[in-house]
Order: sequence, then structure tokens, then C-alpha cells
Amino acid sequence: MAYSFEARDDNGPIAVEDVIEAMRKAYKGNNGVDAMQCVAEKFQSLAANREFIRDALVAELKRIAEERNLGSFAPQSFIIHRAPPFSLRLNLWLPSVGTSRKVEQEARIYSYGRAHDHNFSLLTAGVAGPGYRTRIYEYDCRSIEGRAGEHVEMTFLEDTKLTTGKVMIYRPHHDIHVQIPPVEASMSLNLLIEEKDIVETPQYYFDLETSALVPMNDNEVGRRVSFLEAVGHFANEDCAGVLFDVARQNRDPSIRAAAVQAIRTGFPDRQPEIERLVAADPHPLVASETNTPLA
Amino acid sequence: MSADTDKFVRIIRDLDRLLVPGAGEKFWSARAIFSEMDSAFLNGWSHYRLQEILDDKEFLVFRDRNSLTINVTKGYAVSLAMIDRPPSGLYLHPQHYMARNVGRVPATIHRYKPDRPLQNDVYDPNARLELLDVIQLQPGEALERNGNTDVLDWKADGEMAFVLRLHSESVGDYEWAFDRETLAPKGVTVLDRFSSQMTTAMQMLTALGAPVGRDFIETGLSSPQFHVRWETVKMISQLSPDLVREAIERLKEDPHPAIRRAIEKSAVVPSQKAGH
Repeated sequence: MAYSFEARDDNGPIAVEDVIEAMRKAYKGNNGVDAMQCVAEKFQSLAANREFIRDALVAELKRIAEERNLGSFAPQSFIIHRAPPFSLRLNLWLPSVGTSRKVEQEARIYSYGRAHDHNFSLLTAGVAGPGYRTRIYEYDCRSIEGRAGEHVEMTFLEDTKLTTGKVMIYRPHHDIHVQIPPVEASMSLNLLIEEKDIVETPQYYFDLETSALVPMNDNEVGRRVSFLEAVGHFANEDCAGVLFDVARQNRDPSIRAAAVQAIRTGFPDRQPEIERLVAADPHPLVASETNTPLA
Repeated sequence: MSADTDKFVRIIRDLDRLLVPGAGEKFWSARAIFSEMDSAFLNGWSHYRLQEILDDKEFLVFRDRNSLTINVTKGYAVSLAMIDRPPSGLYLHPQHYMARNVGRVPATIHRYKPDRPLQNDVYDPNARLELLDVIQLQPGEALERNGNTDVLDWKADGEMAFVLRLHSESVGDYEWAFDRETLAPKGVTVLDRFSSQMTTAMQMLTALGAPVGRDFIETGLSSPQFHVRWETVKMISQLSPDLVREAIERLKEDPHPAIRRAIEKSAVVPSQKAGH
């Protein structure tokens, strides 16, 4: 199950550099969860340091005011410390109140009510407020192919809250959780690792009522898939070669499958080549592309 | 690079030069450039981004609801909208745009306008939308939206429609939502990025309960957005009650009517919340 460390009263003062240093010692490049367990108590102490969090937040706000890059931003969170490959992210969790548009928008931003897994290790601590509620399940990512609607065997683990002082570690590709808005504004602090997996492995939503998989289109893989799905409608011969290369070479089966779909949409006369390409790809997600009706 | 990729890069460069931040109504001078933004432009974009995927480079396409970003700067944005079902409400979004149907099927657009002049940052619950006309936009055809007055409701019949849009910078900070049935306003959403982050930070600091410096409070109280000024008052009523009276005195003559009304109503706020 996700690892939990209950709140302590004996949090001594600790500097952010000490937490990062401990993480550097513990992290070997592929042991995110283990490393996070090693630093969890230090992280708990850091999350209790309100002055550090306040000063880091105000400093980040000043930095943002001068920033020009508009690529993307999450209005409810701030990266308050960067020490590659590690970073600390502060999140605000709000109760579901206000207009339906606001509630709908916040539910989308916060993934409220949407069960999902992570493709990265996540160490999180409750910093203020009563905390969001979360129901946690686990599944075996090796047992799924990644198809929309695919049945997923999942086991309920616990129903808990990220209260102030509590620390939790979510295991990548293993823990599924659904967040329920807190009754009052709450905050959490995350420790993140820039793991290459974030781009290379898929992350999913899950329909808990039907135990079915729902592809995620707003993460690194999902936005590439969305792009490829659209490209099929515009691509001319200039693009065909690159599309075939993506379909053959990309490491992610969802991206290869989306490239195959784009070729089928844009170049239906190249069906024999598509069939050869699919026959050479061992992943069932790609194989299913020859049978799926086009959008 | 292919000829289409060259075209994509050239057009983006031209837009970068023309639509600098603060361009305002000069946005409409991009019509000549937009007339060139056709299927070849889209194909060039596709080729360019496909190569990024192939080369494992940073991928600069983002998805927001049913749109993919093609390019975003502080002065303009280009997006590709995928139109199927209409959204739950009708939205007056304060951004001009030029739009071209680049798909294979026609799109249907219901164009509404408010029944009175609206000030973007002053909510008027009595305003109503009025249906102006219904347009069938054939593949290749274009139309324009005035971000101050036009509510365009897009719909595709059957197959998904694709719409290429050149958006201006924001001409206001608030998007108004209207009910489809009653055509009455049902709320606003803050669009301005920095002010959203300011208010989020203030809510965080309030939840944290750690007092903040005067310079931060000053930044909040002098914000051009009324919702930031109001959030600042709420924050200091929790964190620095000794400063509330001063803030309220200062905002009594605030240019925004909602702030003045709230200040009048909350004359007792400091004593109620002090010491929280």
C-alpha cells in the first residue's frame, strides 16, 4: 500500500538543503520510493517549517512575475525549490464551492473525483488545513495493455486524509487514488524527482464503478497522443515518412499506436505498409490499431 | 525542412514581430497573415512537431480541453480547436480571434451578443445574451470574434470539425459564463495568470498562518485586479488584523463597485476575525 507516516510533535528545525542532501545520498537513479522512505522524516520536519514555506512561496511569486515563458502553468501549485533532479512543489487544495464552472474547472485541475495512478514517485506532506481525503487502491501495471475501457483488477487499500503533518508516498504504476476535496483550504508539499519515466511511461485514469481504464490525455504522453490523433487529419506526404518513423521507433506503445492511427486516417491507401508495421510491433495496443474504427 | 515547414516557421516569425504584447486592437492588422494560415501551415506545424517527437526533444504542444496549442506568446496565441459537442455553457471570453475551418466538414456557429454594454470586470446579473445569427462555416471559410461582445457557440454535425484560431492577447481578465437555457450570466472565471497565482499564494499564506511582510501586502492592495485587492484584505484580516483598518480605509474609495460594497458591508470584519 502507499506508505504513510503519521504526524509527529517532535519536528526539529531543518533546512531544505539538508533534505536535498539526504535525498542525493539515498537516490540511485531508479529507487525513488526507497529513497523517499529514507528521507520521509526529514521531509516531515521541513513541511512543518512555516517560515521556510512562506519565504520560498513569496520568492517564487516574485520569480513568476518576471518570467516570460507561458508554456503551461498550474494555478494551484508552485515549485518553491529547485535542486535538479529534485524539486519541491507546494499545492493548494480548495473545497468544492462556487459556480458550477469554477467547481468543474477546479475538479479538472485538482483531479477531484478522478481515480488515477502516477508514473513518478511522489512524496507528499500535509502542510496546513484538514487535508484532502483520498481512497487508495492498488493494481499491477504489468497486467494491463493500456486500452481504453480495458478491465483492471484493483484492490481497495484504504480511505485516508492527508492531514497536517502526515506524510505519504505514492508508488508509481502501483497505487491508484482518488482525491476528494477538503472541507477547508489545505496545503501539501511534494518532493518530486525528474524521472525520465514521466515522459516514457503512461499514466491512466480509472473508472472505479466499472474497473475500467481511461486514457489520460493531459500528461506528457497524452498530449503527444492528442497531437498525433489530430495530425492524421492534416498530414500530407511530407509528414508520412516521419509518422512512419514515430510509429516504428517511439518507446511508448500509446504513441506508436496513435501514430499508426494517424497514418490510417491520413493515408488509407497505405494499408499494406501499415499491416507490415503493426505485424512487426509486439505490443497489443499497436496491434489493436488495425482493427479499431477510425475516429 | 519542407516548404510547408518553412511556411509555418515564417508565419510564426511574422506573428511574433507584429503581435507584440500591448498590440491591442492592432491585432486585426494580422488579417493578411491569417489569410495564409491554411492546410499547408498546419502540415508544416505537424511536420515540425513530429520531428520533435522523433528526436525526443521538448514537445511544445499542450492540450487545453479540446484545443491544442500551436504557438503561445504574451502577445497572441495560435490553436487548433477540435469541435464536437458544445460545452455546458455559453462563454464570453475576452480575446479576439480569427478562425478558419480547416477540417473536412462544415461547422455550425450560433453567434450571441449581450443585450447591453458590459464592463469585463463588473458583474451584471441582469445582462442577457441575445442570439444574433446562425452561421454555417464551410471548410476553408473563416470568421472573426470580437472578444468584447461576441459569444460564439461552435458545433460539428457528426464528424469532428477542426478550427485553426489566431487569438489576440486578452482584452479583459474575466470570462463570463452564461446559462444555455436562460441566457443569463452564471459566474465568471479569472483568466489572468499572475493574478490567479497571487490569490492562490494568498490563500496558501492564509492557510499557513504565517504573517507576511508589508511589501507583499502593498503589492496585493495596489494590484490592478479587484479580486486580488479583495483577497489581500481577506488575507490580512486573518494574518495581520492590526493592518485591516488601514486597508479598509484605503479601499473605501476603490474604483471597483464590488470592493466598495464589500467594504461597506464588512466594516465589522476586523473585530470579528482579529486573533483568529
